[in-house]
Amino acid sequence: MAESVVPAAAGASVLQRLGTLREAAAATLMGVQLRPVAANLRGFIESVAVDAAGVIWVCGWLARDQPLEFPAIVFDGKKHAAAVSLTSFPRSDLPAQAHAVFGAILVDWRPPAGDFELYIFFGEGLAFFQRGMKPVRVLEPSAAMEQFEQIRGNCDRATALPLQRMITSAESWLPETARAGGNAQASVDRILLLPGFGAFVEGWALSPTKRVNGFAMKFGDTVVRADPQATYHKPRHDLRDTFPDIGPLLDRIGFVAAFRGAIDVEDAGEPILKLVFADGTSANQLVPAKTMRRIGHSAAPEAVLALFPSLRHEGFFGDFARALQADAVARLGGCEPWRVAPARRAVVLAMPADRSDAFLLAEELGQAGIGGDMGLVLLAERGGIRPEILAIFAGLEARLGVPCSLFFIEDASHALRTLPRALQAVGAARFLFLGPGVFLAPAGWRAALAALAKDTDGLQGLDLGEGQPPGADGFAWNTAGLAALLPRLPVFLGGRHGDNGLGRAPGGMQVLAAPGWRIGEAGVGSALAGWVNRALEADDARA
Amino acid sequence: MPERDPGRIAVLSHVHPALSRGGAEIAAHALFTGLCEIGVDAIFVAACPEQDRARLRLGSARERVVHVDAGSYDPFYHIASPEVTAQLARIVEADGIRLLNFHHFLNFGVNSLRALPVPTVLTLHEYLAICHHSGQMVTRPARTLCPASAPEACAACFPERGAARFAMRERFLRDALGGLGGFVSPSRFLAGRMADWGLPAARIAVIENGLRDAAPPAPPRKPGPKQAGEDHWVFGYFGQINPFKGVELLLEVAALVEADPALAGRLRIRIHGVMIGQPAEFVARFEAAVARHPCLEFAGPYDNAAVGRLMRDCDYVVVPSTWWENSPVVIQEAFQSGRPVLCGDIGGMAEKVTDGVSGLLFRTGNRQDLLRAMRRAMEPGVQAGLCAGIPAVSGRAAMARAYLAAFAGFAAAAGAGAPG
Repeated sequence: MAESVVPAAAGASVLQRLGTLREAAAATLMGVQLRPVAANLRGFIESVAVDAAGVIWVCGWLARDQPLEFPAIVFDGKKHAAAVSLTSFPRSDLPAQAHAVFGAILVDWRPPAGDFELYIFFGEGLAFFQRGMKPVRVLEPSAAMEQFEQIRGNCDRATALPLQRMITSAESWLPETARAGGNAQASVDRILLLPGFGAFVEGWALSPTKRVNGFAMKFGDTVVRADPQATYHKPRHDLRDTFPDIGPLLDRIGFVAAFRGAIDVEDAGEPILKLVFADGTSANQLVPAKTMRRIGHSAAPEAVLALFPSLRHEGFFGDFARALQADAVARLGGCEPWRVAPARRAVVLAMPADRSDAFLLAEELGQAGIGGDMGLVLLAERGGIRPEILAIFAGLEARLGVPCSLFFIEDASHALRTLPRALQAVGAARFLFLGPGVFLAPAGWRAALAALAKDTDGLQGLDLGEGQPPGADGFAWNTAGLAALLPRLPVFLGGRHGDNGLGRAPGGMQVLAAPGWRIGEAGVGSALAGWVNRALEADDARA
Repeated sequence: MPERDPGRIAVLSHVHPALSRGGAEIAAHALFTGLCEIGVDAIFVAACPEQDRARLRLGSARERVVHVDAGSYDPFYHIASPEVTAQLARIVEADGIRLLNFHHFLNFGVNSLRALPVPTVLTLHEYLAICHHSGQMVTRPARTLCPASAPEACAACFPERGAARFAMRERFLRDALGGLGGFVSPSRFLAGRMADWGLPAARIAVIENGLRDAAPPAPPRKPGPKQAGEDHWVFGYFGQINPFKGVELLLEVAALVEADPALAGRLRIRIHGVMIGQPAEFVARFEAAVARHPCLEFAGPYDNAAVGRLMRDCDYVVVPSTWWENSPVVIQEAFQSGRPVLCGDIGGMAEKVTDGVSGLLFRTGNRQDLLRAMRRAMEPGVQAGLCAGIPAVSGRAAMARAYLAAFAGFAAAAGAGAPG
């Protein structure tokens, strides 16, 4: 049988056989007394590795007259029922009556940290044993697979094949088995992880002799499979020089796939990509952790558009939008007070993330005419320009002569969500809120501050005169009204969409002309944000 | 005897000339000394970056310093920290200042200019209010000449900023500067650009920078045609060595000169100046060119007090700037030294040098045309003719008188009477 057509079930059958042997060992050998008599020493264990499925892979040597598959007891001061399956190969440094061995042990023993004693007792009455070298090398599973790859050609074919089947079994997650699986090669260029959704993966997979039927990935302990409806192949002409002789395969060697599942993005480790072949076998490829990016953290959601240009038409788009929203909610974070100065009415500003804009806003605040029983509340992001924010705040405290408060928040674009906590901390019953990147003209300040000074119940949305509807960018209202309404409003990507639902306020939103401008963060959101937010809005309407 | 009594005037420079010898700093200090010379009660106020505090030695009891921290300055909207404004306000109060004349808003911030409680006049030295690209009005990164700023065009140079932010910058700076008492521009070209941008044209006075020590022009170095092997025609460059100043053009011209052995034997390009903070690749290119081309000499940094002598050791002064310039002090210094100027045919340079009369113009940034101008300059009789056409150079006292007249005009226009 050619190596490239190892039957799909073959690997699984090896494991089944070892399972049976281990059960036999547990039933019949655990009570046998162990005697490590030197005359019965039949070989040594030089290295061990534990794979993700818990199989121990060993390398060492053994007397030629011993069997290669047997029930056994692993002893490290304590007995462990075990089953061993080995293949043999010649090694020039060994005596003629011994050969080198490589193989798998099914056992619940695990190599401890540091030096350890290791014995494998086997044979009639457990008379014979292999002993661990001092020390036994503990390898990564990928190193053990590499070892097998190097010796495979010299191995006894009858005993090597079952091990190869085990490695290439579709159920196996041993890393770096691609070459054992029909000389397949694969690489992942990037992985975009989104908590609550899964992963978007782009890469290439070359299998000259077997057709790739699908993909799966293992992140930490989680296995996720590529959604067939969100998987496609594409040409990779950039690999022409690397693979000059693969002809038409070059046109479909690239792949893009969405893998759906609850991946623990904090513990994704070094993922493994599995190519599942049409014959039911598979090949695994360890993927460097550096290819992973977390959407919303180290990659913008727009990065997915490079993989799925028609993203909004994909079947998974609704789930994607909801996962983005859930991730945004999870990131809202708290509202950490840095300085709290009580005020009955508060002008609340979400400070721009851009250093220059923050300086400009502070300069214009000095001209705005804040006074009376009004206080100033700044909501600033924790990172970025925090040093400048502290200097700006000190300057405003000195210049304005009104109570000034400063809170640090996670994301200024979602400052609206932190408003109730900040307002309750300063004891403000009424407030004027300006989102990040919103600047008022002198006439705008006059109108907005006049609205703040009045004691009315209605929500007044600022019309900056830029043709965009009034909304969460700027409005004046009372704290109690906002605290009651906000939990009922959806969280939108980028923090802003239409009026953010503020129109649902009791009595609706009154429009107040307050000339001004939006720049930077408050500019028109990305196209993707618009699509996502429209999907979320539709969800909200259905709810 | 004072010629008039406008009250105490403060002349403010964005850096003290003891720390940086740029044209604006030199012009500000010359004005200060000129005002003192004609009997006006003036003080000189200079900004000093915190890191240079230990290096600064003030020249007289009439000098003040404002300490500035680059970390607290915003170089986009040009807003300084309130502490800078407070330092200036303390000087205004303690010294009884009646009028402030800022030479540049850099380091002080436009917020300070508009906040101080006395009439304020701003002398413009380049296009920083209009152009975020170091006030050069050249595009980024292509470095082509920019005819007029606009938010969309500026955003093309700085896409990371966006047009909306440039519109905000334009609005803020125009509003803040528009409220000042008046403006002085050393060139009609700059005045025109600023008026086109939105400053009130009626409140912009054009006053040439005066030199600190004006004197009659010196005669040519060695009259008459020079013979091969006997002497060389020397074309001198004076100023900071950076890409805006067109030094690369001189390197390219040197290569053209070396390609013509007959010309190379009769011509020297001598570069005077300091090279600080330039990209390593530019420095490497410069040093390689100097090593490769015998016609190219690097004379190194110079003391401004020696500039007249050094210019007189040249036959011509070359101003190869690739930006518009305003009123380069180096042109005034060349004229004072009796040396015609070869310069680009745009902006402030073309305004100050009359082609074929006081110098020769070439197409800005064009090495072949600069070489053509050099060849023309070496023709018999040309140098003598150009020397005869060099205009008189304004001195510090004349500049001070012109400024006083402008201050009075601004005050009259404001309806408040002349300061003092």
